[in-house]
Amino acid sequence: MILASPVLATSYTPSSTHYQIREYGFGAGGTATSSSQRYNLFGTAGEVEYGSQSSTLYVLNSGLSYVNQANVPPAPTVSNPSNFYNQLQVTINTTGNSPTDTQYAIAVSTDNFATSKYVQIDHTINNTIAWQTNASWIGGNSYVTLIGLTPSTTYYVRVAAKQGSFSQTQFGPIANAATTSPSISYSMGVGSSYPGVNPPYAVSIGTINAGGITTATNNVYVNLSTNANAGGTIYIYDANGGLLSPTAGGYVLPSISADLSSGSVSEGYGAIYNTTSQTSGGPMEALSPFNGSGSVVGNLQTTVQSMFDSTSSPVTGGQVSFTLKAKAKNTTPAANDYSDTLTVLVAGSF
Amino acid sequence: MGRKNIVAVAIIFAQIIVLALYQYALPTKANATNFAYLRLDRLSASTSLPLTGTVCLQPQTTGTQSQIVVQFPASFTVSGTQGNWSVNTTNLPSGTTAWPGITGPSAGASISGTTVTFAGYALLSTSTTYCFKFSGGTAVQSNLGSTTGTVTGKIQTFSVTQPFATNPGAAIDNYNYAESLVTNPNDVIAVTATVSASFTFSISTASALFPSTGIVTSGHGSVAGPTITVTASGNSHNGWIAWVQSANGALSSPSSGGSITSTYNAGSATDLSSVNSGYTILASQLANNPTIDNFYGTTDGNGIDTKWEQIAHGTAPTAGDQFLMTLKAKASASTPAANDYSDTISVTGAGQF
Repeated sequence: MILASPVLATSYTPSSTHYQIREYGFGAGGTATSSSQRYNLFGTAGEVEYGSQSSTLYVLNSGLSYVNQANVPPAPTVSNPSNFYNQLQVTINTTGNSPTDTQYAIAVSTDNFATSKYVQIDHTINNTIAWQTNASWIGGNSYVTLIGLTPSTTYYVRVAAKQGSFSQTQFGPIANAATTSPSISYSMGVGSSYPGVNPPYAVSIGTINAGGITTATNNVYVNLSTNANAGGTIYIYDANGGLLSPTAGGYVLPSISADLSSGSVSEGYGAIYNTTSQTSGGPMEALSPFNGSGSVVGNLQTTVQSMFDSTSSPVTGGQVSFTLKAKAKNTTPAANDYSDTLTVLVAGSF
Repeated sequence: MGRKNIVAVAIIFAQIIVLALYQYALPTKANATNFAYLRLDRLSASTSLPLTGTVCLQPQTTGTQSQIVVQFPASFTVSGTQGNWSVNTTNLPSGTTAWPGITGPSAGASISGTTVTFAGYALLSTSTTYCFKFSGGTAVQSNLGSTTGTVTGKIQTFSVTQPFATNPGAAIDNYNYAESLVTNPNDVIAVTATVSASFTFSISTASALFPSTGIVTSGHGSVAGPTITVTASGNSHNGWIAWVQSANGALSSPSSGGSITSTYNAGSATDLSSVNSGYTILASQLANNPTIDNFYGTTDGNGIDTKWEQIAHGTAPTAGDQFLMTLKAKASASTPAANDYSDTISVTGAGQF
């Protein structure tokens, strides 16, 4: 129904006991109608409208003419592709909002929107709604990474859009995904191949002859998997700083970082990496001074040292191995009770 | 312009202002390298292993942290006695910085369950990893418990006026961590080795001759040449011993039947100038200072028995201890003249393993 009046429309809907005019307009008076049994279309020119038309997915607000209102974004894609414990990835569905200057706000909830928070420009979660284009949200990726999340929690996400002023849509359908718990797993094996012998673990270097380099037959294998954002590190320390013989008066064949094959090195003992591998993530890498080749060994110390890491990235199925080498000089006291104790640790940088 | 249009324009203007202010007030984008870790000194689940380790954190912001709260896994035993806890910043991981002003729990409710509160000064750089080492006392006081597998905890920092204040508000740094514990002692490896024994012993010459002019009958006698060099080397950790033995106990002449007797003195050196005749070995150090025994190193040395007498020894492994042996002899006025006086001296050595 159209009220034709020279007076500026007031901001209420005329009504009676049984009827209420939900929408009306006035203005230039140019109109056209088209109708069928179920539909009626009013066309007007240059008028101010009042009231709203809406459905589940669409709202047409009143007041000034929202001719170019953005389309309500479909549900985003929310995923946890890498067992993140404090992150989730959100892909905004820009279908229906092709203009590149369309801005989006991302709402987040842990109670299916009984309460709401919003993703901030820095991808953390807070109480303030933040708008920016999809290109700004994703940067060089194809998704937005939400950070600072709580482990073992389901997050519900929905998106609103706007283009310019007064074109904001309501928030669209909801998608959800869950963070996992922080995790790390560690195990060892000793043998010529993995898994080797059962624990307790022991490595015999064998008989060390003066002037020659002796290599232990068995390798030490260390397995590491972690979803720590900054990856995991394998550490090592020993008890004696070398091979110690009680019957040789407490003599210590010292652990050194050196090329045992060098003529300038008369005696020494240390570790050298053999292999690194992973199922995914990482990659695992050997760290100095254990990353040598040939007979270049790294010294074992009574203080903890980094030996391998996953290159600052989460890793699944990481496995490394190292071996022990030793060289005696002609005055290294003879004894059959040289020994050391190695402790291997792992820690994740969460 | 109608009244409603003026209101609409004002609303638009207000929104623009708000948006502009919001843009200027953007929070610092989270640093992708921020992290925290807790490195235990052992990873065996055992109540006999003390709870010790290192806490490290690279902060998200700077200048505000004053309280560090470490929640240990629920399976750990954590001493509730503040005095059992200690911290230090020695031997920290390579490339890290000591946590400034770190102190252990010492006031208020700084220990609750498995949560321990430490205090420190504000951190100064988001690109620096700050660490401290902690100890919860003896294994009886704090330990790793007996639960194997993955266990989790938290590391948080807070900004408070009083370091151990309760209700510190929102965490500045907030990290959940995990540890992987194995059956005791499957985080250690016993290493063994043997160093084989070696010992070498040699003398520099197989013969020595007294002067062709004859052995004198006065003074300290005549000296045979060349001097004999004895070398001992090996890895016997208790060193080595050398002995000498004479076949005849004397310089003997088959043609004349004469002899110049060698007399071994157990308690003193031999002075040839004070006897009518005699035959001795005089020894001296050459390399690495072996010890000369049984008075062989003084005056004219000592006599040579038909049984083994210890002449020198070393006390440690050596690449080459050396000593010299000089044969000396003095004839009496009645010693028959002959040019076939001789003896055979044996020299042997052994490493003391």
